[in-house]
Amino acid sequence: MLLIVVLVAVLVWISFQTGIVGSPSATYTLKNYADILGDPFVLKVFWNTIIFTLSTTLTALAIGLPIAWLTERTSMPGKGLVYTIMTLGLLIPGIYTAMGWTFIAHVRIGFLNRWLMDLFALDQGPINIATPVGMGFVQGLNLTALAFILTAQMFRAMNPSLEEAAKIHGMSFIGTLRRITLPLAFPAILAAFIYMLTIGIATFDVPAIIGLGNRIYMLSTYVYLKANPPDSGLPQHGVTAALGTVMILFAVLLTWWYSQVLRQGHRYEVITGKGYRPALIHLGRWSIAAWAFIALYFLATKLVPLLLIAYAAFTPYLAPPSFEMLGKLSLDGFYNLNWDLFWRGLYNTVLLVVAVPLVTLLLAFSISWLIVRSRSRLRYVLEFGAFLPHALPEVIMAIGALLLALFVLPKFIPLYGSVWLIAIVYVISRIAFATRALNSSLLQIHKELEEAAYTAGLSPVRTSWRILVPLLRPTLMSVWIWSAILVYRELTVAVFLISQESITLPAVIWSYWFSGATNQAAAVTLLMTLVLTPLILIFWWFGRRQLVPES
Amino acid sequence: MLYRGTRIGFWRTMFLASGLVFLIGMTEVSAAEGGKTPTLAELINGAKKETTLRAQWGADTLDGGPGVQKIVAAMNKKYGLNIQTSFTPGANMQGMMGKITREMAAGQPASSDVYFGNPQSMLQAMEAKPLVSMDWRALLERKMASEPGFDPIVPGNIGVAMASTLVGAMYNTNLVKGSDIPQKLEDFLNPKWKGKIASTPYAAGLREFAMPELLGKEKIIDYAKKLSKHIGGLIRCGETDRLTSGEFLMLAFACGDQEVNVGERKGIPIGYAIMADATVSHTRYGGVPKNSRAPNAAALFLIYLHTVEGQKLMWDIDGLDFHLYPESNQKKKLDAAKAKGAKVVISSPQWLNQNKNYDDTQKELEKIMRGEIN
Repeated sequence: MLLIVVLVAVLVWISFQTGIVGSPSATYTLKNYADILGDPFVLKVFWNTIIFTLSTTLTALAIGLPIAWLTERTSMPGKGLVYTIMTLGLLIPGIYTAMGWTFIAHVRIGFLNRWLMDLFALDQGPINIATPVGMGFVQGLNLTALAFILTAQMFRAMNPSLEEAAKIHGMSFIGTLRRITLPLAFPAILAAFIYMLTIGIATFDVPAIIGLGNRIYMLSTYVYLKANPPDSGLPQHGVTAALGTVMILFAVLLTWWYSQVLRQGHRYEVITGKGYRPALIHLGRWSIAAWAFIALYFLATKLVPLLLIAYAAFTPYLAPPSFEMLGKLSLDGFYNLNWDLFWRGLYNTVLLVVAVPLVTLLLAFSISWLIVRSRSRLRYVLEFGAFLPHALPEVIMAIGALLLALFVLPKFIPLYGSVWLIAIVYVISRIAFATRALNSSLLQIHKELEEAAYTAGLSPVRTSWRILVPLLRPTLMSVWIWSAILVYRELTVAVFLISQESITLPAVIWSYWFSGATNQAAAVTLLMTLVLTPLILIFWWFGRRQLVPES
Repeated sequence: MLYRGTRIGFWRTMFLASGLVFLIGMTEVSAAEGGKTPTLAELINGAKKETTLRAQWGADTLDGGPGVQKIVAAMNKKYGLNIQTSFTPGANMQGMMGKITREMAAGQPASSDVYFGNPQSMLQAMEAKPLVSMDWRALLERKMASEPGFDPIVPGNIGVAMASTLVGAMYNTNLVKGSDIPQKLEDFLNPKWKGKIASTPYAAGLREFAMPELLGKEKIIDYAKKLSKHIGGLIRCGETDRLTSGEFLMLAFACGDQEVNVGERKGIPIGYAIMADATVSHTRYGGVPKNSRAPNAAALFLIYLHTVEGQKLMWDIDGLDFHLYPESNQKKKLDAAKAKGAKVVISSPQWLNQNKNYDDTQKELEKIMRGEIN
């Protein structure tokens, strides 16, 4: 928590400075705030971000919510496969979907547009993903799996008695859905909506890959440009920090709203976990339509982008797929790859995947235990601190950490350019999720078990190890795997903090893409997917056991 | 019992959690080196004690990692060294200069042991002074030809020019052919290109065209406003894939023709056109950061690129060489542009420094191209 407060403090401190921070030329001023709040272009960036975030969230819910409902409340067959597809969706890096969708629906080179142009003799493609709405759609596809996970549990636990009563009174299916099911599900849907809004505000990969070249700027990419100016200027840390402070205010407001929704959720409680099973709606032939919808989602978000990226990896230069280009496919993209860079990226990524979940679990377990078991008043402060990272967009944490390491810490700890700086930010950003999960699980374990262990003479550490860890194992495993996967695919923090020594695989892909080496970016993406396969298998195996409802 | 245990656990856990941050991530930081100009022999001896040359610039510059490996391998052979390379794609030239300057101010080692930049970034270096001053003329193996109004050594001896390339338009040869190939600036404003061409976020070419010696600020600002409304997006100079893919048909204007020189050999469908109105010979410079961890190897890297074999290698891997050497391919292109009557300027930090409004003009042009000013 101290670290988070320090990060925010550094950010606020630097937001009041102009000139090169840490040098004599730095002066204190309110100009940064005046500049960003008075600049119509920045207001446009804010507006773009709002549109993008809403589009992201609505797309994710529009696809994820029906799939969750179909899986939990209907008789659709093959639910295990649905869970596999949806959990797979969480593992694929956003950068990959963004690259794939550029090839699918770019206004000129997207094959879907080209096909529509040929079919209807159009001058220009009718679909344009290079807009805030279009980019939001692509990011929404990335977050669909999350929307599914966030809402499936709610449908699973929903008491069907009101729906059954409505049916007895002759209410139609649509009427029941509109007047009973959705109002009951509203708090959970709203909570998922707000949760995804906070993610959407800080999203970097999709706006960077699709938006930067098309002059569509979001807050995250605008911050990136100010921190890494493409032009003649030095990094504008003061402006970056001021933007970050404004972003924090937005995120804190959303987080406050989120916590209010969660607190008021009990008013809608017709949800129980015991003694009944919700009645399933018989789909009949509609199962085919339901599966067609899910298959389309899988094709659009995973299979087609992957095929297009594979094509790009094997082409000597990027050109629309054609028979002529198929004849030119070769392994040159892999042969000319900077393998030293790839291995460095892989080494750092593996290091982070191993270290970050472990440290996150240790810290989160300690924090959760103190929050749940301690009687100290400090536990409230600790609880607030553990949830605070959720309100801090990752891009802002990255900027704060960069400035902290560069201008404050070097005298004591040389973290700048080190992979451990990235690790610390990752740990902080995962703490909120990990403590939420562990708090819930710890609350379900009666303290009598621990008291019995103390009475038997076990120390608190041994008690934790012998009693709590075995009981918490499913949650601990789940948190570990989630953290590992999110670390593996994370780009936003890495892109701000990478150095020669600390570059990660997603950052390698980004570097290639940003400098125009698309086929090498695609080649690394393919290799990354290959490396990811064991993680996918572990997650799939574990996810099935944890998530698939008993049948 | 539980109460007492919990209290102790609370503080113990808080202590451990806060201590964890301080225990991890200790990395070794080497001290930056500096001092008076050494001789070539001293540089070679110094480089023998260095193990790795870390390089960071755009992945397309000098062909990125594979290019740096080839240059360092040839340098090792020439000077009897065994330097390893470590290349990481980085920001553009001005961005990297900013990063090195920031790292120097914070007492950190430079992200790149050797710096490769352009006149703008060297102008930045003249103000921020993050590069080592060396007597480059004395260190180079051969003399460069003289060029009126152009000094290849950056004032203060903080850098040396090593390559040049001409500003022009890059285009997809499958989609832009014959009379469609632009010859003048106005050709890009043809309605048929609306939304289909790109420019750069840093207003490459335009920023120099706006100087009084070439086309003048008023004319170019007016042109940039029209061009900004006409383009479909902004790409960086090395992003040739976005032209070959058809996403954009042309780039107005590219920083240089090096990608085309290499691409033509590989059969990539990109071409290059020098404008009849004016062109700029963009100069590429090298320098050694004061906080370099391998300053001797870095200096030798730059010295090697001035040798006959170094210039040929640079042409082979990146389509660049220096027009002040007699065998230069760029010299032939520059002479051809002059013969056609185009206004030509050799860009250098000295030239930029003479044009006091250059920086402000560039910022204004960048804002226009990004759409911040209409």
